[in-house]
Amino acid sequence: MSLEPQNPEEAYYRKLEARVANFLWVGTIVSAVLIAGGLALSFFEGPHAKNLSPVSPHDIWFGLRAMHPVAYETLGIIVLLALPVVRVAIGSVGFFRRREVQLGAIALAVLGVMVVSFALGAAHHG
Amino acid sequence: MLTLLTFLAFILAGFVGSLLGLGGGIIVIPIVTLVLGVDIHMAIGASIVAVIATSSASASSYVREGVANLRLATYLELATTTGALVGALMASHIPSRGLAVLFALLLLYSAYNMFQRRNMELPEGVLPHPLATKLKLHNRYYDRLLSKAVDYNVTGMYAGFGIMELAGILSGLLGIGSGMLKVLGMDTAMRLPMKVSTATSNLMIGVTAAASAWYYLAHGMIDPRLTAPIALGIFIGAKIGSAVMGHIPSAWLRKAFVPVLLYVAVTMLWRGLHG
Repeated sequence: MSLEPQNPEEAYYRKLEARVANFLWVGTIVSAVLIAGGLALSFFEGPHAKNLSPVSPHDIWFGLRAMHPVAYETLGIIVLLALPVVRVAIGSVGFFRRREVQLGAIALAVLGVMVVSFALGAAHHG
Repeated sequence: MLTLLTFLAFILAGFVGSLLGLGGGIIVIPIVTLVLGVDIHMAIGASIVAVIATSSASASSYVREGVANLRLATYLELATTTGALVGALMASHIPSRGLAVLFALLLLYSAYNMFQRRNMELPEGVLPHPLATKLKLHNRYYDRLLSKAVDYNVTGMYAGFGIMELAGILSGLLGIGSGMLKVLGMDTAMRLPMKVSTATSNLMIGVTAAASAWYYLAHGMIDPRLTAPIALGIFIGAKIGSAVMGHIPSAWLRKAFVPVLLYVAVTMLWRGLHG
C-alpha cells in the first residue's frame, strides 16, 4: 500500500515511482516467461542441440524461430540484464522533466559510468 | 544436474536476498560450485544474473510501495558504480587475500554493532542533512505491520556516499555482491529505517551488477543453461520475500542480518588466510 500524496510534487514523484515499478514488473514477467519457456522447451529437445549457445542477435533470432530452448533462455537473460539500465534512464528522464537537474544529471552520470565500465571491461579482457 | 532441492535453494536465495537487500550470491555461488560442480568463473557469471533477478523482482514491489527510496538510490548509485569501476581497475594491483581479511574484520565489527541494536524497530532523533534536504531525499512509507505512515529523515550523506564507494570498490575487487555493505551504510551512517535500507539496497544492487553483467555475457561467461533455472528460482523467491516484508518487524530483519554477516565474515577470513 502506498500513501496518498500531500502535494503536487509528491504526486508527480509517486507517479514516477509507479512508472519505474510497472516497468520492472513487466520486464521481470517477460524475462521469466522467456526463461520458463526455454526451460519447458528443453524437456523436448534432442541431445544434438545441447551445446548451441547463441550470443549474436542473428543466432538468437534463428534460434527463436527454430524453437531452440537456449535462444529463449538467452533472450530472457538479456531482457533481465537490460532492466537496471533502462530503470536508471527512466529515473533520469523523470527527474529532468520535473526540472530536478541535479538528480537527473546524477542518474545520467550513473548511466555513463555503466557504459564506461562495460567499454573498459571489453578493452581490458577483449 | 539440477534437482528439485537445488531449485528450492535458488528460491531460498531470492527470498533471503529480497528481505535482506542482498544479491543472494552467498547462497548461489556455493551451490553452483560445490553441488553442481561448476567452474568458479561461470558461477560468478550466474551469481551476477542472480543479483539482477533479485533486484528487479523485489524492487518492483518495494518501489511501488514506497519502501525503496528511488531518489536516494539514484544519489548513492553514483558512488557504487564509480567504486565498482575503480575496484575492477585496481584488481590486478591489490593483494585480494589481505583485503579479504580486512573486509572480514569490518563485517565482524558491523555484526557486533547491529547485534547491539537488534531490538530497535525504527531510528529516532535523526537530524536531516542539508544536502539530503536539498535533494529532497527525506521520505515516508506505509508500514503494514505498524499500520501507520513512517516519516524518516536522511542523515550522514557524505559518510553514506563514502561507504557506498567502498562497497563498490570491494565488489569490484573481491567479486562479491556489495549488498551487505550497502545495507550497513544506510542503516549505520544514514540511519534509515531497516526496511528502507534493505529495500533501497535491493533497488541499487541491480545497477552495480548490470555494468559487469553485460561484459560477462559478451564473453560467454554467462551460461544460459545454468543461469535460466537460477533466475527463475530467484524470481519466485524474491516475489515471496517482497510480499512478506511488509508483515514482519524491522527488528527481525536486523536479527536475521547478524548471522549472515558472521557467515560472510568467516568465509572471507578463511579465504584471506588460506587463499
